[in-house]
Amino acid sequence: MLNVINLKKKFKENVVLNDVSINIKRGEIVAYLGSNGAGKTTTIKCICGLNTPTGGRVELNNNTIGVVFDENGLYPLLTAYQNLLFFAKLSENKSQEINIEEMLRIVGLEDVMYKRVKNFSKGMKRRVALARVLVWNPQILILDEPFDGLDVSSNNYMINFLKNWVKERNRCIMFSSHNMGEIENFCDRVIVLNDGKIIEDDSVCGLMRKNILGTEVCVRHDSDLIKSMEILESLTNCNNIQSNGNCIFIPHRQAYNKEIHDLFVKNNISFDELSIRYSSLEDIYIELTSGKGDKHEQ
Amino acid sequence: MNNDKIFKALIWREFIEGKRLLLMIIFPAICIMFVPFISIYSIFNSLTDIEITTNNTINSLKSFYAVNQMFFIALMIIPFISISFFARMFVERNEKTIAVLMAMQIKPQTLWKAKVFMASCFSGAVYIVCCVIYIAGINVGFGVSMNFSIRDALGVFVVSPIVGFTLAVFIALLHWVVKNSELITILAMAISVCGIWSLSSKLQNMVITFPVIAIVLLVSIAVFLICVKIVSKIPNEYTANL
Repeated sequence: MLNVINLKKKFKENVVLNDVSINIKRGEIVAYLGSNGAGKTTTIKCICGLNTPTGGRVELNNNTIGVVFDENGLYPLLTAYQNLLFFAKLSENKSQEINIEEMLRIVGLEDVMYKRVKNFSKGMKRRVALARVLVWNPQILILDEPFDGLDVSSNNYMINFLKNWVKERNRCIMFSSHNMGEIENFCDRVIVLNDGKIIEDDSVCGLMRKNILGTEVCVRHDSDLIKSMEILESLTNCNNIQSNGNCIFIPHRQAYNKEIHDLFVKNNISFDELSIRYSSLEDIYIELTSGKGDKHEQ
Repeated sequence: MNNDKIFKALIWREFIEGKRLLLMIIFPAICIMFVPFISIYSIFNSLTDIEITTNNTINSLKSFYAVNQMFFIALMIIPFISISFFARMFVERNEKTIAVLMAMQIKPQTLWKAKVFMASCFSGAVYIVCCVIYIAGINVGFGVSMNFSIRDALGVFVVSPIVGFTLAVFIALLHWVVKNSELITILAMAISVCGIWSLSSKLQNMVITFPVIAIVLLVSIAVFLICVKIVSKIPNEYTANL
């Protein structure tokens, strides 16, 4: 649906993007992450045609783009309704005009739809901006910190709404945020950009699987803790197995759950819980962007 | 995308915003109308007996000066109203509305043209109202009935507004290409009020002939076309990153 091929962008001698390639398919929600100055906004501007790439190309395949920048892109002298009506008038699809009230109801602004946007709070403006882009009804939706300023319940509501919107209409979203919780809840795939280069491109699950902290098993009170630890040491060749009460943690970046299950059953050791502990997306991101992420580049 | 539909939508939005904007600037626009009244008052008071010859009755002489002043009203009012519209570009750029529309593959030149069109419509309408106020004011306040020759009517109601629009379009171009557009607004407003007034007092005795009107008209059209051409050549990247 959206194909970015070997995108390069230089501002004078400063290389901002270096061979950035992104492919987003229909139905996908992709997080595009990077620290400040990594080149996220430049990539978005190149995709939207606001910047001319120095090299490479962007293939939109006749798909329309809708974008919500960090600024809301609203007309402060117009009401919320008029802001949306303007984008409906620009839209190819005439029937969208009918959906304006419905769209404002979805974002929870039905009571203030005839009030001027300049009097709105930051969160309300953000909601109008989201509604505005949905009225335009693009095939590719690019969102730059779209939930910034929204309260928790509005945030969750919008995440679910956009997820359904993507699935029902077979659209795609490229999403940029610094809130890792949002990304875990919202996105299927994560692309991490560092110094103008993509250093990671994987599904959220795939990324987690690659970043196992270790395996944790909580044995029952009547089970032999010492014996359990000996079994685990011999299985993993790990001499820094940690125990906390009845729980044992094996700090190996490998999943041992199946082997542990089989061995404990064989040795009649009962356990309450056996789980793999993953790094949080935030930790993974920090690790990647602090230079330790080169292992993923291959 | 359908260009007509986009232009109509842009015009609709500019109209709604323009109505709101006009409410804010109508009072200063009316205040500007004091400038030609003060000017004509001082001219009428300074008329000496020498100037009133057998051929020039006091009324025809006053009418001549009053009509001559009208050539400059358009040059004050039209840029003043238009600048208020173009100054919105600065807000739109900061709010990223221009970038959002450009991302929707709408040409920035179309946005510029829609703004120029609506600014011209609004300033033209305000100019007509100001002309009516001026003619009525001269008639009622000074007891002078103004006589318009074809040359005067052509100059006051066609050429002068076109020159005013061209000035406005030139300012719109500056707003579009220069980063510090607030400075342009302040400078342009100062020029449009003080400069034109001073010009009008210096040129009050000048008889504006057909060749002068024709030359001014041609220069204005040329400047207008050059401005439109320059805007069409500005790359998207420049507009988006200003």
